[in-house]
Amino acid sequence: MSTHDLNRRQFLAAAARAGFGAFVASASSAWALQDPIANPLAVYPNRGWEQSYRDLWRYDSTFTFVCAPNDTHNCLLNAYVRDGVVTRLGPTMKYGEATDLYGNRTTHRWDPRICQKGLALTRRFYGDRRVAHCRVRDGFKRWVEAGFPRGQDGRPPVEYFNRARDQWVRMTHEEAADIVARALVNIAETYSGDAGAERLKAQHYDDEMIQTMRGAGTQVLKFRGGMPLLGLTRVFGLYRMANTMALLDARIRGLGPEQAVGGRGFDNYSWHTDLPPGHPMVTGQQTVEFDLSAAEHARTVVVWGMNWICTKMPDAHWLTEARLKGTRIVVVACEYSATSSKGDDAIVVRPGTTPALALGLSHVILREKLYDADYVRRFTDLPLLVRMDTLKMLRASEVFGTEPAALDNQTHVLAAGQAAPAPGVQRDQIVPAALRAEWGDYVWWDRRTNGPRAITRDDVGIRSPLADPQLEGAVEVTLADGQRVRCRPVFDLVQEYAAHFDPKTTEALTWAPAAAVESLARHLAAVPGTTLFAMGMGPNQFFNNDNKDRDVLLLAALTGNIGRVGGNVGSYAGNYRVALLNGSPQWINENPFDLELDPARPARVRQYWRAESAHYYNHEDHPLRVGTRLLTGKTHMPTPTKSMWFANANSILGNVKWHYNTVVNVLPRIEMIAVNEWWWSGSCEWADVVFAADSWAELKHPDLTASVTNPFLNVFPRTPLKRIFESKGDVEILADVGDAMARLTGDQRFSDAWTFVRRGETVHYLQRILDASSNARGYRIGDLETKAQAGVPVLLMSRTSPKVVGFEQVVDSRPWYTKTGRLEFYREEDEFIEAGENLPVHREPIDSTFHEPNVIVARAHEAIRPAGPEAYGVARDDLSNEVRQGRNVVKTAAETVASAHPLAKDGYRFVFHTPKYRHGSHTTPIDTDMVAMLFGPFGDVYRHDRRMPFVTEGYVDINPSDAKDLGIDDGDYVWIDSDPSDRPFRGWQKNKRDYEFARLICRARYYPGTPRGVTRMWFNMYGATPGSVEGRKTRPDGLARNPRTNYQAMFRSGSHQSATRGWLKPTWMTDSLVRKEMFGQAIGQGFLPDVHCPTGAPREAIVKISRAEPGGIGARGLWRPAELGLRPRYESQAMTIYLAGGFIGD
Amino acid sequence: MSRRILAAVLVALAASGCGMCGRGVPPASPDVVAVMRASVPADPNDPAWAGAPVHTASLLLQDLVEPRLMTPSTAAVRVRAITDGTRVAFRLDWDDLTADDRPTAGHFVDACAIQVPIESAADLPAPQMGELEKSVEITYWRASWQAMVDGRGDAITDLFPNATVDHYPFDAASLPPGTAEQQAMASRYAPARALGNPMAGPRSSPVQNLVAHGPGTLEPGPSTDSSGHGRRLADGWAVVIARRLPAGVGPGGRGQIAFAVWEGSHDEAGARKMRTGWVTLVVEAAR
Amino acid sequence: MARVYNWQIGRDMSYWYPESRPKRQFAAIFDTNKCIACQTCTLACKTTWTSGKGQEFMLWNNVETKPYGFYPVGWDVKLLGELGPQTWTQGAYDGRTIFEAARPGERALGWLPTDIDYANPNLGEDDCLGQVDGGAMFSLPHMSWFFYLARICNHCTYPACLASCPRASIYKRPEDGIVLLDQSRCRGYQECVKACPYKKVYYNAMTGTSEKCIACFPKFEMGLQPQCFVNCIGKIRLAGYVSTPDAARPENPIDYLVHVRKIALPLFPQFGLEPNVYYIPPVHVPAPFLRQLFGPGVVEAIAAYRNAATDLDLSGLLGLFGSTEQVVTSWRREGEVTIGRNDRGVEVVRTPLREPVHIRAAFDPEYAVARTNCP
Repeated sequence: MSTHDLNRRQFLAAAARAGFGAFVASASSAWALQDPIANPLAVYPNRGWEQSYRDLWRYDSTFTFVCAPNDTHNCLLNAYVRDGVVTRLGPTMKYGEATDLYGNRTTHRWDPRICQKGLALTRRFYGDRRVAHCRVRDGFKRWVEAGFPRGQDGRPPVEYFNRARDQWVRMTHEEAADIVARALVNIAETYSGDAGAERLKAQHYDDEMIQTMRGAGTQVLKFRGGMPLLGLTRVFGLYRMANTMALLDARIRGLGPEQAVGGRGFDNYSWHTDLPPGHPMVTGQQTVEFDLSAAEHARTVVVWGMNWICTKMPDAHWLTEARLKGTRIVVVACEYSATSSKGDDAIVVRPGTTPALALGLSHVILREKLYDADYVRRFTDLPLLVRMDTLKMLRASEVFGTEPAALDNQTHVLAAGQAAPAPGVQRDQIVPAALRAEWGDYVWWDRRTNGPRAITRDDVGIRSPLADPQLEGAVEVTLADGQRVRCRPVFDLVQEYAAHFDPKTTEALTWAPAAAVESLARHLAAVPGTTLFAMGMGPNQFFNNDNKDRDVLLLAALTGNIGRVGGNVGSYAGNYRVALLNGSPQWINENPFDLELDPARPARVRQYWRAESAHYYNHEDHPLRVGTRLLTGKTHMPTPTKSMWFANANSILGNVKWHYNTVVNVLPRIEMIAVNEWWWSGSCEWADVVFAADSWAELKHPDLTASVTNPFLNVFPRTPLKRIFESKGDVEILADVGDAMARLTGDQRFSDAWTFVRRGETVHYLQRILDASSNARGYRIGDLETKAQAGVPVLLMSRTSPKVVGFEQVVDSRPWYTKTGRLEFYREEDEFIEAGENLPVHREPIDSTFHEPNVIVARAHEAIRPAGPEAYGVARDDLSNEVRQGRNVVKTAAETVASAHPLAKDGYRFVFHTPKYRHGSHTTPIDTDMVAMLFGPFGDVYRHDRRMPFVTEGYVDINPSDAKDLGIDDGDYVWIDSDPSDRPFRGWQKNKRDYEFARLICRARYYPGTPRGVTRMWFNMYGATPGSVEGRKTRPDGLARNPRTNYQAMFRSGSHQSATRGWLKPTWMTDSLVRKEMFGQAIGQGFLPDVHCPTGAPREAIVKISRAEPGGIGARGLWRPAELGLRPRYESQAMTIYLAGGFIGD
Repeated sequence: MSRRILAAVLVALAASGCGMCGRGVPPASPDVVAVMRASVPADPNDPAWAGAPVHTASLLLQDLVEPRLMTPSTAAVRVRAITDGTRVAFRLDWDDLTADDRPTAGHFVDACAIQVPIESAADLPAPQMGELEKSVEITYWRASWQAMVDGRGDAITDLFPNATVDHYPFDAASLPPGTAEQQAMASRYAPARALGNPMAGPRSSPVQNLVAHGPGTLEPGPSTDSSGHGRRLADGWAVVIARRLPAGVGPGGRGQIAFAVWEGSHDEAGARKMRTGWVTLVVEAAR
Repeated sequence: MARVYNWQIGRDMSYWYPESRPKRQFAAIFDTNKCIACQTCTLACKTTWTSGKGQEFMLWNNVETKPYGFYPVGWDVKLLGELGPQTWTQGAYDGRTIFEAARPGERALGWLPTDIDYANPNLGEDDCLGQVDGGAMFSLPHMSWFFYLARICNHCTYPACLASCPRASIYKRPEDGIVLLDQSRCRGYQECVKACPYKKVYYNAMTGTSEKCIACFPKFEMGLQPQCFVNCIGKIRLAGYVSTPDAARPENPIDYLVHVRKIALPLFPQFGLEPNVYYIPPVHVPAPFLRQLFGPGVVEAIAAYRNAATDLDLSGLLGLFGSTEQVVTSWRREGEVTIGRNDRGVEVVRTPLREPVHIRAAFDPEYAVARTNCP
């Protein structure tokens, strides 16, 4: 013992004396001849070694930064620094200290806020796909240096555009900025004026698109700050850049500020198919939603096509804790999903059919008269009359010959020429006089007087005069001119239509058991206003998404569940409501001809840029024409896309829907693609110029963000971390290009537009935004940044926390942003009548169905009178993909179920849907080893099977019985092919070179939770590129990693986007829909990006699946877990006993 | 399994041992006889071994203490010894059809060791790791260490060639490679290395000196004067372990020595091994 | 072999060393009903402790989907298969523990994974038992089901790793019962890897030693919860100390949930290690499988949990989970508010049963601006 004590003393002394190193040297010798250890449960002689873990825990300093992928959470994180390296991250645990200007405060139930993807960011800050410096594609550089040679039609020679296979040239930020500026100027010049129009004609662009440019070459320059709310200056800055393009147009065409036109800005929320397009159709504004913490205030939460616990991870506990405290959780999904496992009830439905489910539920409520009659009378258009001759709403002027009433309910009618105040200080709703006159007032039938009565859009909520309106049956109304017209209340039309969706029929269409439909409907109606409908991306990514919204909002209205803290509808996908900071125009739309350089004064705003939906670019750069009919509204009309510059976005190119068609057939027509990024994404692979941007941990310019799912206003604080590579802030990158533009054009204003950025005083721009924003005015950016550096956010000054859209309508009787001031379930506009969607109907999915696609499911109905194919000069049996989009054919449920998808006969029998999962936020940071190895069942960081593209790989989840029928074993590699007419890309049959990286091969996973015929592949994984395929073929380790860029694909070839396509629905593209403007309370009409705009339908694909290779290592035998008897349908005897709980007898 | 049977057969067939060194058949010997030479060879391929007699020591199961080895593997080890009067080199040859030199989860490595009493005394320590107050000195050779000495790198891809790792904190671009901070960071993320655990590698020698005074007491030995060199043969190992002559066993003297062999493919490690009892070591007198 | 008492199986059993309990025993509660399998805990641990060479495959904390998920592959099925079907009688286990079932020459019944067994660490993710072939409606308990099982080292009262180490290089800290593996002394025999039924000791090929979860003792010593607890956004975890049943203190959150309310149960108590991570079983899973994993108490535990809506002490205490980084050693409910205190009796957290709703005036005269939900 004494020797041992001596040793121990010596050893501790040594450790103390010379620090750890000396201790290390002595550690082993200190043990020599130590006595046997009697009982290590009781005593262990030498514990000095424990220091090694204490040392590993230690850190020198910490700082905070905001992690803001497009997941709505915006988590303030702590970074732990040792020897100048961020070694690990963690939550700040300070969300419980958030306050607002009034002293309201949150609790620590909001902590912690972080996730595994955030924790893995250190691997992105330092990893080998970090964009370490600016790069320009060699061919593009040569094209610029050669002075932009072009052919007769204006097209550059193809030899300069070997994208994704070319070499890259390292450049300084200044050199890269100069190249981008030169290209912008040259492209704008090339396509300006008549000469430009001629060139575009020669390149076969749609005339309407060319006309829309009105001669401005700057209109072919497209800019996108991917999800602006993720960085008000950093990301949204690209729209400010687009606005300054008016200076370029003025110079090129010699115009003044009055005539000049800026660039074009792509949409975001709608581009991501996050917008629920039916919400503005019913409410007149972008989206109804609630902060997710509201869950515990509801009696019932219906999680509808939303994988809440996977996509809203830091807010999942609100759901599980609500359930713990008695809230009933009902999960509707097209599988037994992760979130289904947290439900009291889980309902499994057929993909893309939940519009019919909502109608089925509404039918039971209507049939049994269980609806909330008071809510229906006060807040909806259901009592209002529709003319059966014109299918238009009956107007008071038609009946009483009266002029539209004056409006005074929180509404201001704006006389022509009168200017509205800035959005952030608007209080009343602002209605342009012309629209007011056009809308007029409406008519309902009073059962007490048995006569028609007028109603204005003021008359909502407590001001609603409707005591006993006639809801059912037709009435004959005598018009002022003596004419008698048959009219029916919207309620009556809806009830008749919904009657087709009785529980049995609903089951036949949706697969939801009839009994479940009956019982859920009664439960929802039992206590009105106590149900939250949490709608997810699932149903929203189908072509019938606006039907879904209108049908679900109808169900919610019938049960009094719109606009209440514990009773509302929310649609959850993406972080989009940039209007949460509705002072943003101060930044993006500052008039470039009249810049305000005094930081203390507000900017003068004028928008020169025009918005456009990126779905046209995704639709092979043309609008929707079916037969003789142009189905894209004039207000929506795109221009040719000749230049694309975007930031912080892999969705616009790297993971674009129909990716392989886009890169093979669309990109060759685009002359410059510039990307601001800090991680080498698929978008960078296909770019011409890649600017190296700061990571979130390196921001040297603060920025702002907020969220649609939590009540916080977050500042991205400046961080003390030294830049690891040659990166710059996104706003600095914009400023560099501004400087270069100034040098090239001699117009200093290009540079002045970024004055405060260059001075390191971006805060002035941020303060202007705060001062001009309804829910942020009063906050000082300095205070917010100081708090953020301490890990504490603040509360957004919304009307309520949690935010509840519709609260003012219910509590303040404020009109909705519609013609009637009510929730409008009837759409009287021509486009809707023509489409057969004046009523909230159900259409079959456009591709993801076993039946005839896109048919309107209805019985003969007096008010459903669509324009059929013949009206457009196409054959009724023409189901080709382009025609299908504008095909208005009515079938009953029975006829629909009896019909078949046109490709069914060729073996395309599987619905293939691509939802998002817990392991990625979009594609961030899915391709880092620690995240990837846990993504799905195929992870293996040591890659025992060299065929693996990475440490995990893409896979398709398939019902085991379906797989067996196809001769596919669990874990096999399979080919997945969609409609050969245009996927993976048009012309693949004659283009083997590109088909090699475009065709999808992946693992098959036996997935017992998915119904037969329904297959799933997660959306988040990085797809194959020419470079990744080259890496897979040439690297000894077989990694699918681009030898030139290190781009890391997670597929051997193809991706989930090999099967998707760009789709356009006519009702997304009307010129007539009335809706609130993006910022503030003013109401307008027609196209509005992210509000009334195409969304595409990325979850629509019907596929054929065939076995490619065995799953065993090296393509020998079964995939090991199946071989071991641990997989569904391969269970060993022990596994069978285990599953039954048989290892413990009763 | 069949491999092991085959191995046994080979042992039976092997004449007086060195079937694989291909340089005539040296004489067999009942003891381990260390022949006197000018220098001790370091390499199993050294021609000097041809002149040294072979002692074939049959190996026993270690089934005295838990964890025990329950089924036999390596049948015998053939030992030759050469001394220069101060140092002694032993060449151990044994049959092993599987070369196991990658220590990964659930995979063990081939190894061998020699053991001598720490001091010469009349009553010998227990042959199984010695006993209290009667310690033993052990020199241990390990195939994985030999592989490192022979050039195997220190990266995970040296064990799993297809592995890919995005980042180690100590590889951060902002931390210049080779600096003190960088090396300290690297060892922090390998506590066993930070603590100087001799198992933790990387290593410059394939052998390690150890002392023990009973099962479970094995510790790094004070002296580090031993050396070793193992070579993989067609169907076995030839390993040279050299050290100073055991305490009290000079030229012309006699002592005791024991041997142990671990068969990696048979999951042998630590107490799970094949070993001998004490064998007489005879040291030739100086010429 | 010695005879020791294991309260979880309600009887004496044999163990390699004589019974010796630490002054205090580290313990944890995991509420499986709140686990979302986000793997944030896994990454929190990995980025803190196992970011080095040879540790790439190593997950001291992992989350697996039951019943088809395993890390390493088949870890529990394999051992249960070797142990064979066993039974409980009146809350006492009358089957064989892994110590009692040890084979000749071994100290415990176990099996040794090889490196490929650690591949597919998220095998079975979201795979349910009970194939869903079409439309369906499931109510409690679900006839198709899976649930998430988060796992760390159980810092057992009778660790098999400790018992099996021939060099006695694994020990239990007297002050907190945390089980550590001495990195300066280990020689990488992998006996502990083989013996641990939970497979929570891992061999590092680059250091030649075995490594395991350390319960973040450098934090725990400072009164802070481990990384996988603090980073748990599902808020399923609470770390603290557990007493033996006879010494249970109701004001200790862990004692209250384990001994007083009995809603948290050990994982595979039949193995005989007296593991110290306690699980609130998933309410949607049929009982037989749960009994196999958590022992005979599952039906009562689920009933108590389903009653939390009206049981304010229970729902209040469960609301403390994940709301503070500090170790809460005593708690009290005052009406709608639950208060947690640390070892020194200092209040470290208070949480309401429901998060307050703040309603602001539609117009803010001070700043002359509307405050709106539809900006």
